[in-house]
Amino acid sequence: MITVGFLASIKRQLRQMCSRWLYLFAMLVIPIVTGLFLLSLMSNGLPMHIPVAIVDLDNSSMSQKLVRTIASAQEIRVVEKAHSEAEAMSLIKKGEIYGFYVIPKDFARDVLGQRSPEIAYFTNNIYYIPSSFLYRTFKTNSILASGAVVQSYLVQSGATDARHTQALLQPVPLISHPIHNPQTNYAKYMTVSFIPSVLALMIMLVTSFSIWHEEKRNSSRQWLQEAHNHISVALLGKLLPQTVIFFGVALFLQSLMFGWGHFPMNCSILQLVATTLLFVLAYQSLGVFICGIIPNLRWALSICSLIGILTFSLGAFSFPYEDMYGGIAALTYLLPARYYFLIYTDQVLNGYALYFSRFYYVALLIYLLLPLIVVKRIKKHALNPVYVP
Amino acid sequence: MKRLTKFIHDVLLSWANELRLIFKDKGVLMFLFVLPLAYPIIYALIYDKEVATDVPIVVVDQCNTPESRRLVRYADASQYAAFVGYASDMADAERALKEKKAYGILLIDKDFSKHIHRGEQAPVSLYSDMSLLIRYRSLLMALTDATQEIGKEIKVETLSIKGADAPKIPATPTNTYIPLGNPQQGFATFLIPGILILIAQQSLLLAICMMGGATYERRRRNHGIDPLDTVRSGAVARIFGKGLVYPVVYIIPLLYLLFIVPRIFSYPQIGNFIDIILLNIPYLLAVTMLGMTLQVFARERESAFVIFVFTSVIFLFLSGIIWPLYDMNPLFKFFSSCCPSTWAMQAFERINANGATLNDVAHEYHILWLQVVVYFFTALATNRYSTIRLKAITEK
Repeated sequence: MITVGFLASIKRQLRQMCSRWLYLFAMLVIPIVTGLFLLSLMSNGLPMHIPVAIVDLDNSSMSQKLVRTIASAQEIRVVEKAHSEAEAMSLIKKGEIYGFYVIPKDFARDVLGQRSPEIAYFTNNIYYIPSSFLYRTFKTNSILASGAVVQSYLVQSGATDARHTQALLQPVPLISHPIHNPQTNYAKYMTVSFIPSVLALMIMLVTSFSIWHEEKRNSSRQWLQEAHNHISVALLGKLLPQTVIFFGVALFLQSLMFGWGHFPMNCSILQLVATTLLFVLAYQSLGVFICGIIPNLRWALSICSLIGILTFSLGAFSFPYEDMYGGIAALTYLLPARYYFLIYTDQVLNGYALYFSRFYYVALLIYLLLPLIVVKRIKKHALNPVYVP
Repeated sequence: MKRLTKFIHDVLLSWANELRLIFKDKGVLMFLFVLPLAYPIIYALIYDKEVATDVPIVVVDQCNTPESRRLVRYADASQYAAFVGYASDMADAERALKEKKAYGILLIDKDFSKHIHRGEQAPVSLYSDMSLLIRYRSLLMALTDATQEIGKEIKVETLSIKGADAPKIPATPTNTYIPLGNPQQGFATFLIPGILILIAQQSLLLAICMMGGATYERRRRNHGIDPLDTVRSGAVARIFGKGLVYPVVYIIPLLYLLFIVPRIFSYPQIGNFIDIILLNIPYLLAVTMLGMTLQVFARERESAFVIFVFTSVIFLFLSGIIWPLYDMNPLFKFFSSCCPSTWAMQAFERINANGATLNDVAHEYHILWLQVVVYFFTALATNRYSTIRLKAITEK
């Protein structure tokens, strides 16, 4: 009996999915296109050749040498030689450059005359990634270039040797080792967190749409009947085909990132596959749970959209939760994406022992129990469908 | 003349009819009013602190001298890092990373002080967990400041020991960094103003598509005619009428988004009020016309959620605020330039934070007007298409 009902439910869901382009679009096209979009948009890893201007107010041979050194950095592209700071500011306002570098008047005279001239660099920080990248480029090259000026002077005058000059200029250099992401590649951060978030959003939306659309079409009684009045069977039959598709899409996207894209992966493939499955199931369960709490198509979709969109920020992928405002940080623990992301950093990125992520796996498993709380309520509403637009 | 009067009459009637329908539909009202009210607050609270402060760091001090301890003290004093303890060796320190008790390791070599006393460079190493870039950034800032601080003191000490023998050093040029538009270099100040503009577009698109879905459902049930659309006007008058409702209804949410939210959370706001308003007129019109074009895809009220919510992510990345426009390939640049949000976000951010005038963003402003015209015609086309399609379905 139950097997028959189960098969009938699956068939019913497959029929619904094939008869509407909406399902196909939401389950296949949206996640895959978004994933490919994000991956190819940021395929350069870092946005090289930042448009900048250089303002050389000194125009001496020393300042020109400095300009050449700065301009030769491959991270930037000098699009304009502005003649004043004001001119460069106007280029910033027009959006033509992302920053500029100013060499003051009398630069050469001041260097040789023991007065320290002030080099200034400006970046437009309304663009976060280009500006922090540009800041780093300006700073490194500027220190190197001005250090070189001093060093060549010292060594030439025979005051000291190169080794001790270095120590005099920078006694304690800092050597930075970013673990597992030596190029501090932004794209890798964005894609590994945004692609699962898109999936999370679409899984929740499709889950709740497919459940309460039965109510809207006034077919929810028939849906239950076909499953011989077992709500669990009806739900499983409805959701299992979706699980298969979403899981397949998720694996495809993971293989794009970790296989084709060579993102750092320090755990076994099997573990990544299992974690991905758990992620899909956790979000389906959350979708069912929301449907049970709010048995209304539009409201359930609204809440799923809210949670789905906030996942991008609240998942704490880009901003640490310990720095979020008060109660908001607690909300992050209500999202499966949070645990998935912690597992990702521990297991996939850093390759820690499973032991360190044990609680996160347990948390994901707990989500799978959520539907049990609400199945009765879903059944009640499915038997007495009232569509409220 | 008579035709013109009828046209204006039809526009006004369609306008009033659409307005009535909006205020009768709770779903649409939620998109138009509750969504722009709530989202900015949540976002602002998430990114309230702007930067990651007091990121915990452990220290492996193999040298253990007054100099090495001074370095640790300087790092701890920075607002960006917090010293949480010494680890006996690297393995011990790595364990602290794994248990998330710290996100960085400062390794001080056992010859650290010896190097300093010999007048050689004494490098130190920072190992940073890279799960979040923003934590790494904070640690790097804290340690850069600390090493420069101690370096300055060492330099003075070395020179004073050498006394008269000290080499004459020419003046080193000082480097001054001036961040524009976002002096704190905060995350919220960078992200939220753009998001505010995007929220306006998304809430309008969702509302318009939900209305479109509802109309389609009614027309489908009633042989291609919408019983709630009592104005029997031509398509052009209908699009004019309906298209003018949304910008008018959206005036209050827009003022809230653009002027009140930035004030509450004290984001930079140096733009001219009139310029911002002028910029947003073509923006709202272009978004409305784009929405009426996309209505063709919404065959049901609720499908707006399933097919449009995800576009926020796409529009955000295409805007050039996160990933710069100059690094996009021609295909993405084309899509990017099709979105009203791209132009409005770029222009608004520069007016609002860099103090640009409408003259500085003239390029963006003109393109927004061009979009109003182009999307008006596409709206007309898709409107015709769905009428023809409905006819085919209902006649079957």
